Amino acid sequence: MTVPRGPDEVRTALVDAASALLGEKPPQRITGRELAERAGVNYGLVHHYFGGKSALLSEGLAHLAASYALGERADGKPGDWRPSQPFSIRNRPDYLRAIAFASIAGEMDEVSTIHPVVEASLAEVADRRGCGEEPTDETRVDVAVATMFQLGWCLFAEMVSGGLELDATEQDEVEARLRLVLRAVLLGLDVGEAARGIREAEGT
Amino acid sequence: MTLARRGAARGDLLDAALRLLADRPPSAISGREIAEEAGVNYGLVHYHFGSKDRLLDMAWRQHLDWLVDTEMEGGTRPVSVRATAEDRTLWAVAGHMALDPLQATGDGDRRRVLDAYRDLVEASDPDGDPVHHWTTIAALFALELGWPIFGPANVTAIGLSSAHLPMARSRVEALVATLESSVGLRSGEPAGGKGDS
Repeated sequence: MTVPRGPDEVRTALVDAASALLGEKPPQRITGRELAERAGVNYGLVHHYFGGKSALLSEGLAHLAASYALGERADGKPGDWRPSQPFSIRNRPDYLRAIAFASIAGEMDEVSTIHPVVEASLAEVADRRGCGEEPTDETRVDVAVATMFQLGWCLFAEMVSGGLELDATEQDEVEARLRLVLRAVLLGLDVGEAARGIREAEGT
Repeated sequence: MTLARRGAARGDLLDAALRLLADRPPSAISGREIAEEAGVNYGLVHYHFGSKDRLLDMAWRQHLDWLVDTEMEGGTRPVSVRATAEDRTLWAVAGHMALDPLQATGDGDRRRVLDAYRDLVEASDPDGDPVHHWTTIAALFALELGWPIFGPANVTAIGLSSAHLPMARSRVEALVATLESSVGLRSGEPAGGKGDS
């Protein structure tokens, strides 16, 4: 690995190191020295460029969020998925893991940012529910719950599918139903009917 | 050391392991740290459990057993949103276990809660469609564990204040009740999302 030189390279190396470490362990377990070592730079530069460890971690999370919102893969190349697709965060396990570690630690507020497609999703849902440009609190709550539901499923899918001993075909069937459930949450439809596989019309 | 003290050390190690699992994933916990947290000699980790991973696994399974025995009343009713949300140990450890699964140690059952749910749903809706059952269980897990972990930050990220948290939680509770009643289960309140109102 070449040693990063100059402000831009050093900053990029440190933000990349933060993005990587955030997916490996809870934020409170990441030290400034670890960040510097991973980036291959002097420890003092963490403070010089970011003022401290927590600001750098925030940058790391913001970097992951922006990359996910662009539909990029973890290596920065364009992915074959769109962030607006249901459960799309599964395509970025690094970002999902970072959000999960920070959220469990209760540091998601300080470590800032979240699901960057939420705003876009909000406008679309408000439109489909016919409540105009300004989403109501109720619509906002439903979008927040739907986002949480997607993160929850992506985090626990393996544990649940493994525990229920579902084979690959059964997992696909459940996944298709869960997309209907997600749609019902977003549009205020009956989630029980969705779980049965019934696709209710919008605006009823 | 007396035998009684050794017995107490076993319980202390299990409690300490669970506390540490709520803080970080299994891979970030060493046997020495568990012994230190429990205030017992490191050698007792191996004496009682054979390995650190087996100790962590047993601590987690013991908590799941407790959940099925108490909250689920022996597997006769589903877990409430309130119970999951208030049990930080449950959702934090479940999250860390999902992020960093332990290798199976081969003994005991780590799936007790899922098994209890499957039995419960099959008993209340014996002729139902299995995909409907699995989907319901999957959605209940995603909502009930997702809410305490991801809920609060998502509510504030969408431009609502923390004063809206109770409204969001009521919504989660309504979704859970609707899903449960679709397979014939009844939790605290009557079913019905706000779509029916």
